[in-house]
Amino acid sequence: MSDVPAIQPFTMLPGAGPACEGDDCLPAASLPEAQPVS
Amino acid sequence: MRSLIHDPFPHRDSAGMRRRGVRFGLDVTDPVKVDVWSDVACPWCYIGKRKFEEGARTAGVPVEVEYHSFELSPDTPVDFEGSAIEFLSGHKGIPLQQAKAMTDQVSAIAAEVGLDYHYDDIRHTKTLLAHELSHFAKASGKQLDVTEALFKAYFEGGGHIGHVDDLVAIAESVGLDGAAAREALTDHRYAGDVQADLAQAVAYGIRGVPFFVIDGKYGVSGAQAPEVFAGALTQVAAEQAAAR
Repeated sequence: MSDVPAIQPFTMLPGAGPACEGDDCLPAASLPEAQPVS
Repeated sequence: MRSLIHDPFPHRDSAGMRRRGVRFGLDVTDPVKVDVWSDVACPWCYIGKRKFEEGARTAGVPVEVEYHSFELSPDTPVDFEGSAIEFLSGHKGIPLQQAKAMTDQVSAIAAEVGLDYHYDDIRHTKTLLAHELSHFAKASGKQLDVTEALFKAYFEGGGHIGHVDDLVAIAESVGLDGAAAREALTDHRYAGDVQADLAQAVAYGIRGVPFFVIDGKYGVSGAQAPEVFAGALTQVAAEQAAAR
């Protein structure tokens, strides 16, 4: 990413929806809890 | 080219002029320009596309959409042996089970907007050439058709979108000339346009996609709710009407 400050000729609306940034595309998901061994 | 118009008021008179549509008391003769930065391999971009379309329908504001290239993972190989879930697992160093759970979550959200993601069938690949096809299609006024076809092939159809042959087939599926598409892709005729989009994204500070710029005035980050897009489009339409 460039170190040059971004020039945005527009106003950002508040809030942000889900998005992909680089390799981060998917929501974090925890592993299913282990089931107790009976 | 500004010929890609999604028009909720597709009624035109005999001279081909757009009729004036009025919603919420607004004169919405002129379509609102919407620039979208997006990548084919971005699950939120397809979902965001649907949410934007719903917002535009709700607002009743005609829009003119232009897609711009964004490459999320430039180091992705064109040919990856394995599923997208296996790629995700290996790339992030997480168990397959966890990767599968992540994709299942996204698939469930996609289903809410009518999309049928098949992560098990996705052919993970580099998307740069697909972006060149998008620009080729733009030159023929077919960019929205190709954008939809690329997303559908990638997320729903298990299609490969990294090779010339695959992309020519997609071009032909939307009525573009296959031989011309092949020539443009082989010669990388639109590689410069793709790079210009990528550079513009950097200049705008766009780090994630989808990213929408509405009428050059308002930026919307991510796959936000249809109401957000509807509100922004209504606002712009009101501003345009007031300026007349």
